Amino acid sequence: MKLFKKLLGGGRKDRSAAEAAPQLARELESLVAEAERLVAAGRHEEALHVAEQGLKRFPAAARLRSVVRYVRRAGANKRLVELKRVLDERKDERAYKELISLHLDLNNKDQALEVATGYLEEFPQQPDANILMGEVFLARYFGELFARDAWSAIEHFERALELNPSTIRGHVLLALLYYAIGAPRGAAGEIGVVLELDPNNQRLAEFREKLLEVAGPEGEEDVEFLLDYAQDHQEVPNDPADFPGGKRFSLENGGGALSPKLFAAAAAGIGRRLRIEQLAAIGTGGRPLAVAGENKESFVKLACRLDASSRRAGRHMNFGTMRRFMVEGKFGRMVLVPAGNCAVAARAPRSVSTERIAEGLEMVVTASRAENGEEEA
Amino acid sequence: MEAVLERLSHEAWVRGSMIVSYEGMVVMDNVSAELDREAVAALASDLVTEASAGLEESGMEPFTRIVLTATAGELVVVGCGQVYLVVIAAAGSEAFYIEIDSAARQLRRLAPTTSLREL
Repeated sequence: MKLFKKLLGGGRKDRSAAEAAPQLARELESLVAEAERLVAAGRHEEALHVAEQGLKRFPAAARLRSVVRYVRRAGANKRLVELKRVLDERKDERAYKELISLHLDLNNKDQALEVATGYLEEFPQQPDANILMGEVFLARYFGELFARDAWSAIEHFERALELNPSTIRGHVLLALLYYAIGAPRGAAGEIGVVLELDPNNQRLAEFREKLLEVAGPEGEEDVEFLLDYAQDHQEVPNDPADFPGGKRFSLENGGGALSPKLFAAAAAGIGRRLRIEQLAAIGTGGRPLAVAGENKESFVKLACRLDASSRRAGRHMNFGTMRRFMVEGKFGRMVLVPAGNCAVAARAPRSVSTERIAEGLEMVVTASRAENGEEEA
Repeated sequence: MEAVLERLSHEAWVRGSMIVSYEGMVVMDNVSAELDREAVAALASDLVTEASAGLEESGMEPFTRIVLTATAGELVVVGCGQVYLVVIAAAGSEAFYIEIDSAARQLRRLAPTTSLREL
């Protein structure tokens, strides 16, 4: 408990930093209040305008970003309902395509997979159905780096190319995957095929030149090894967002980098309220981002083990996206929650429910990331 | 033991249940055809091994229950002496832990005095 009080001191320091710029803080508050008022009044277009203008002045303001996300999501949800209605009435290819893309934009990967499966069942000989199925698996892959998802994506892209070898998107997405996992020759090869089909694509031509510069001597790239390595270490050498047109597939970061200092401050409040005894945030490859409580090292090790095995089990069981993992015993209740590019784990007495601990962890992650964004503004 | 699994299988939210030894061997199961019993046992065994080893390393007592919650289902593992009970359930079935705990208590009464060969 003393430790959490000490950590709370850090939080005061962070707040005083914000007080040092009262003018900026007031300006931001006023923009947020105006955007939120417009959202409450149902004037979404105007709210979006205010938030977007505000983001030009405060590019990292989390609350303005959340207004933008909310308005876009609200608009998208309306369209989702319309598209579902169309598909209930008739199996329309355009509706399938738009619905899958919308789900991917909203990061609803499970729903995207469900719709893509339906599309492929209805139109198995259609290259686009295979491409979209591959895209969904690719999005899942960049979320958790499970090799199985990458293989499924490759399988569907290759199937689409069998059906129509001039499907440019199939080659582009294979190139994007190879680039991300560190197979530049494979990526350059796929882009080479695209350039034969579309010789005027200057952007891809330039990117291919860069790939060939770093590709090194001739030799086969072992995709299986690269995928297994990425899965084991939970990281890929290249961000797919750096690939031309690859922003949709940017590695999941759950809203931005997590600041250990702010995480600790946010954890202090939750820690006291939920009687949390140990708490840790683990980044990619088991790297500790923030730890609190006793026996930090062994707790991080334990959390890493549980994180890796629960993700393995969740994915292989085809259970969809993992929400939380709980282990209980005389030691209390340990709950682990995945949060974008990290996982957070906490141990509390058994009298505190799993749901309360999980909610507390989610709040800690959200608060530390949001405050981090505004601090940067 | 068979009766315990049979009773659980009557619950609408249960997709399968099995009794697994700490060595990962399936002692008895009642799972639907859609589930790969060997794969489920292997994954549950992996969870149990990792959790047990991690807890021991941290100087903590053994676990009594593990719950993996995902968007489309839950995997519940409850220690029952020499074996553990694995239940694969539909998502959002927290309210039914009482049934699982009851089944585990019945198994606990049988398992400690029964060698795996006899099961």
